[in-house]
Amino acid sequence: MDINDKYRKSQVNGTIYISTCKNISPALQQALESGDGELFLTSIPRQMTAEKLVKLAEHFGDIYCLRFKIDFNGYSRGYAYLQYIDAELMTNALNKLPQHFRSHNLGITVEKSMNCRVLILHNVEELSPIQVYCELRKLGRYVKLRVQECRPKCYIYFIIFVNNEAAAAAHHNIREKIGLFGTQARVSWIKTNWEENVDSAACCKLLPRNRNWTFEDLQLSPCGCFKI
Amino acid sequence: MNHIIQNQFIPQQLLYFIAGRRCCQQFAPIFRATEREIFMKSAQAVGLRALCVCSDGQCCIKVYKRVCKHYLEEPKILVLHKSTIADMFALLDKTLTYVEGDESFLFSAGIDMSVPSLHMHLSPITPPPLRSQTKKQRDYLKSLAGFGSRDKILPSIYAFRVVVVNAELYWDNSVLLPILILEDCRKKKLNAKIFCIERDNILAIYNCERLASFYGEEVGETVGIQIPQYSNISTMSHIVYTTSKHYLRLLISQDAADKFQNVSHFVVNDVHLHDPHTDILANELRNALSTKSNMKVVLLSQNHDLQPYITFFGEGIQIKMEVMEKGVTRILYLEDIHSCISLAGLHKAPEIVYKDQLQLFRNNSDRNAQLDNCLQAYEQLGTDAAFRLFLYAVNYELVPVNYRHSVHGKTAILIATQLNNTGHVRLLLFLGADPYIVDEWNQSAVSFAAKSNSECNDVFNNYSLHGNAIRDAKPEFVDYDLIIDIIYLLLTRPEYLPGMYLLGNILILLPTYYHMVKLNYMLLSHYLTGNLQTFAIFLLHSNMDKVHVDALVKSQADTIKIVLATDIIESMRLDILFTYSIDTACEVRTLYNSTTYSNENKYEWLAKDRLWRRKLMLNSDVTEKQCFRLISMQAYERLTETSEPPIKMAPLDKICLTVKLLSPNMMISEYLSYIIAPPQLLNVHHAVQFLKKIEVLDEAEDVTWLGCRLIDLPVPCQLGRTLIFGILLHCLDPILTIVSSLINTDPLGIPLNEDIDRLWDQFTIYIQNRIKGERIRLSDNQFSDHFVFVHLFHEWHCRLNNSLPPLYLTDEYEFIVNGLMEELNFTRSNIVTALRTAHLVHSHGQLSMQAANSNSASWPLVKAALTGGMYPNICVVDAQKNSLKSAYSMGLHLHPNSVLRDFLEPFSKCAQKFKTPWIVCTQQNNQIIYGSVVLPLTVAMFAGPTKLRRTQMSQDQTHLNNYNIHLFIDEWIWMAMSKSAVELLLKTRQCFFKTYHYFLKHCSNSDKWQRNTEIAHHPFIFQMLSKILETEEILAGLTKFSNIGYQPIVKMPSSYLLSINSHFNQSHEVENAISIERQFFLLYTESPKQFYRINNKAIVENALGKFVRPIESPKRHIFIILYGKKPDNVYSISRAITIKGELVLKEYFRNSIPVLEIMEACASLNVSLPTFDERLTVSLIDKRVGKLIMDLFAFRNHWIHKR
Repeated sequence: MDINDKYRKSQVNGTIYISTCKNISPALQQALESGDGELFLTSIPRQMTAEKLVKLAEHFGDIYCLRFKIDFNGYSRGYAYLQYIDAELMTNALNKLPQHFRSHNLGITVEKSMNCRVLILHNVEELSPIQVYCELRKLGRYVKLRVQECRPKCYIYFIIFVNNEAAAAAHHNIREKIGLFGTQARVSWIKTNWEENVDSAACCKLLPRNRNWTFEDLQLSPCGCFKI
Repeated sequence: MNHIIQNQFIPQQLLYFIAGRRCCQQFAPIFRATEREIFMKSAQAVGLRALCVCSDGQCCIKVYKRVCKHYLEEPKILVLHKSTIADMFALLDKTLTYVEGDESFLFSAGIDMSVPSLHMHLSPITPPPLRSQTKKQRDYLKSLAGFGSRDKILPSIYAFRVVVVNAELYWDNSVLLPILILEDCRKKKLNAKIFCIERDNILAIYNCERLASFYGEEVGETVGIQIPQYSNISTMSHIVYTTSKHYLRLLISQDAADKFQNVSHFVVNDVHLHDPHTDILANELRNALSTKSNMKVVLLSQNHDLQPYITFFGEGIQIKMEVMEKGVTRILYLEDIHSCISLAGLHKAPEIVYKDQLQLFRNNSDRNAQLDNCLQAYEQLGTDAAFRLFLYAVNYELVPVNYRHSVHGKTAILIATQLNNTGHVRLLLFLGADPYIVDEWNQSAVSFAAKSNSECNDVFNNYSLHGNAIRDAKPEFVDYDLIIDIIYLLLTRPEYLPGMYLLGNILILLPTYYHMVKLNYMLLSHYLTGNLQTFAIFLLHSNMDKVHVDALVKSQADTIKIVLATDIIESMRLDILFTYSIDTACEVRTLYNSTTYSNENKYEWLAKDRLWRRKLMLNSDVTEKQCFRLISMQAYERLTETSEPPIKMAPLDKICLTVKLLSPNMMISEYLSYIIAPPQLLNVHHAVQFLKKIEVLDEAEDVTWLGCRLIDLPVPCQLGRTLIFGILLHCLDPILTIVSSLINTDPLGIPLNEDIDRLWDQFTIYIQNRIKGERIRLSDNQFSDHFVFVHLFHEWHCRLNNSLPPLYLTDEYEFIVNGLMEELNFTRSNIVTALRTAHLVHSHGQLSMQAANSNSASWPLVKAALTGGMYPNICVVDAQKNSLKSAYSMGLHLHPNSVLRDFLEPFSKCAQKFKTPWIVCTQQNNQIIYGSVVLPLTVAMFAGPTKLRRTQMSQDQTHLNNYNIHLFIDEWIWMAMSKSAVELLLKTRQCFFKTYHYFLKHCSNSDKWQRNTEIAHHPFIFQMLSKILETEEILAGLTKFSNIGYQPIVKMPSSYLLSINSHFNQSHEVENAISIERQFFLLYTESPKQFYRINNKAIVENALGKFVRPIESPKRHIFIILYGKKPDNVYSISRAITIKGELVLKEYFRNSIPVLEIMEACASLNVSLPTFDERLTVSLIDKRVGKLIMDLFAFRNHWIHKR
């Protein structure tokens, strides 16, 4: 079967996406979108194309999406992300895919993707959490913003995204405009699997989501934290 | 045979030369060594001077006539200091160990040349899936004017392969046609992949997003885009937007078989503009049509004459859409505008008159004294010779023609009238002199002529009939004052306009970004002082972020919009209705001048057809629209009907390179002769010769590795080469700043009298001197204009301290600098991205940004990179002849703009200051605009071809001194040095250029640059080089530079102008300026710095509460003026405004004005002075005084007031 009938290919800047044309139930779609069963492939040869990789990986089952990174000249940058529709296939693929690649003379390594999707923004001076929230809203879509006050008047912002891809795009965007958050501001990845351990503290004031806050709304609780 | 050559051929050749017009000539190397001597002897025998020179590695004889200025009397001596020699030995010792043995790559260069490929993912061509149109889409299509004529267009597209459509911008064909074609293919299940070619990135993005929103999708689904730095395209994309430049780049990297694969339709927009890349693409399309029989080409033009395209393609059909013009547009020319304004009796200037201060600024500089002498001499002698001196000062030294004598205030034209010299009077009037200026005895040229009834009277009578026709006929002066007057007329006194008046949006068309920024400040300052009602200002130009367009498109419908735009708006269809347009009717073009071998920026009037199209942009439904053209009726009548294709006169270096890469087997001149509007052959020839000289092309006109790398950089070839030298010498950051400054407008260019607005034009000389002083301060004794760029950028950057420019106004200069620097930053980051794309800079490893900046603090190395990159723009001071010698032009002189010379300073005097005779320069039309003095060692090491040949050196047997080896890097770069020096030099040169070739060839292979071994790119070399050059600089007598290092720039959104404009237009109050009451309060503060830092709302609210309740109302505006003691200054003026229930101080202006100045101004207006008392925290002051202080803030001139 021709790859073009089964999959949809698109390219946004330096990423080639090959994603399935199949209809997927919304629940599954959501799970997959948040990075369920994502594999991380490295040591991909420069000349390898995304189509070839899909053909090889298809051996184990239908692919949901392949994110294949290329450089300006269209060659592989050496890594890609792979997801099967059936997330259970991941464990199987972890063992068998490298073998399969080796049989085609390819030394591609396969790992479980860490799916880093949390960015940390720190050393923000002068801006209040609410201003940071507004600025970040302008820069892109994220799932949740958590603010922790590490010292008085000194906040750390955890920005949680739906998946690694969205986080990577946001990382780029924020870095492009990091000046908005002050001279010392830095944005970086949280490498470990970040757990949402604590829920919001009791003092937090809940703001309505519709964003039309009145002045009184913003009279925050004494500790200055809020939840939206 | 020998006999014939010696006795007949050689003398004959010489005789021909003597009879000819050329001042010097190079004779081809046809002579044997013995005959060369005979040739030289016989040349000397007939009174000519002859030199044996090297050109392109071959020995030739160059013969000069006595008058020729190209002749270099003797070589420049190069001496190396002992420590330098020691350092160079150490350097060579280190490098030889690992460079040796790897010679092969040097000589294999050129064989396996390949341009880096550019990726474009194009899926096989398929029919678009069936989809029915929604009601919204149907309605939208119906609303488009061109939808009705689809029955006319579609059959033609099926019947013919080439369709040329003539339609105005109004028809919106660049979006409509792709939709029509795609929808038809959907119905008929035909294959479709439509390429829409725009001329500019911003247009491609804008149109692409509009089309995507028509389909209710994101970009990247049905509609894709591929431009440099942004691509979003998928298998479903049936319409792809790109630019002609980018598509050509794509064609370059494709094999012949792959070209134009998977494309069904090409829709090329704006062909009437004859953008060089579009024309080349048209030629490629024509060639492709011969093999791809199914391809369709649709050309969109806004010009009536379509026949040239049909003839060019040899087939096709033309479709003409009729011109739709709603209502009437009244055109007002300069004469009408002037009469309207004088009728309305506008008085818009602030009330403060700096009359008394004028004397202060006079006679305090050498320049004034010199000019006074000049005028005095003219007055006493009255001869042509004496007059010529003054003319020289006006023409070459930027002196205003209306210069008034410091003591008696006489102008040149008054003196000429007194001398009764009609010739001089006419000439001065031609230069733009104003005969109504009065001297100390209240006598003007006109009144004197009338009194004495002299012949001059006739001249002035004639002049008063036609007005100042000369100044009005010059396109280069944009009359900002007049534009402001028109805005006043429109917004405050519309009844004086002919015809009906209705409130509407105003479009102002300006030639460059600089003009837009300057006008933006003027509009803001007039608006903030409360003289004009609310309007929103928007800017549109080609080199901008998409946010600017978005801001305009999404702006509120009910405010009046003033849009400042360059010519980009001629191709951008906006859904904004304009009722008025103010058209400066001029544009700036970069032209190549083949007589001086240099580029120049020239202002030109537009042709009639473009003015007509600009008029059609007025699209509101109002029955009567007005178009103000800032050109006199007379000048308009003389304009040509259609504009000339830009390629005819444009610099061709980048175009030649593109063409050569497109078809490597064809001569460039041949290819260019096939395009629809071929450029002049001489210009092509010059461009090719130039590219050969800088080694972008080799001797056989094949592209070198350098050429392959330069094609991806968005700068001219020479500047691209400079960037590469910057990377190689590890000082990229300053080079980036210099290159982007050379592309953009210089904020410190010295203004002419006409550039200064009416308020300050009396102070021209003073302002010019101040700006020159600022340039000299920034140049920091480095004898370099390029250093000024770096220093200015550095200072601006430090001042902002990595944050956005503050949202208040200081003065016009600050505003312009912020605007221009933001533009420069934008260009800079674009270049950096392009460098990354071309793999010239990597994300890590030895070519990372950090590594490429490791020597950025070393100014001598930066100059070395400039020398290498800017070659052949290097000139040498010939002290004996008192002139500058360069590659091409003869009478080269320094522009007064340059820090290398002072105003009115003779060359012989300023040349003595230079410590070395070599100058790297940027020239325009025989003038050096920017120059940097460089070391002889730098020139010997980095200038010239990458491989020196043996013939470029010769040993001088006659002189038995130490410096007997002559090195000809080029015919005018001729040096003599000792044998040991030349050996060291050549070895270092060889070592450097080896790295150069290695870098160019292998830079895209990032693996090679990860490891530290084998690469001859060792940081040690550059530290050593920097040390050598620094010691040599000190020995040569140049002062050590102040430290300007590399600072990583914190990235900022480039939207200063956008945010400041929206900041001042946030309050959407529809207000009438007259009915509003303004109240001014003085607020005392001990330290203004602290006041700005702390939260001051409570203080203000408490203090103000005593006076007025409620504090603010729609009919009353409260202004707070901040003042402090010791020193007695007024610091800022802000408006107290309630936003969301909270009183906020919105700062309008922040500066510091001495209280003394306010007192003087009050006295001159006869108003009572407020008390500036530190005991009073808040006090209400008189409205007139408040208004005066506001004006003092708004109309401050940086150069006059900042001391």
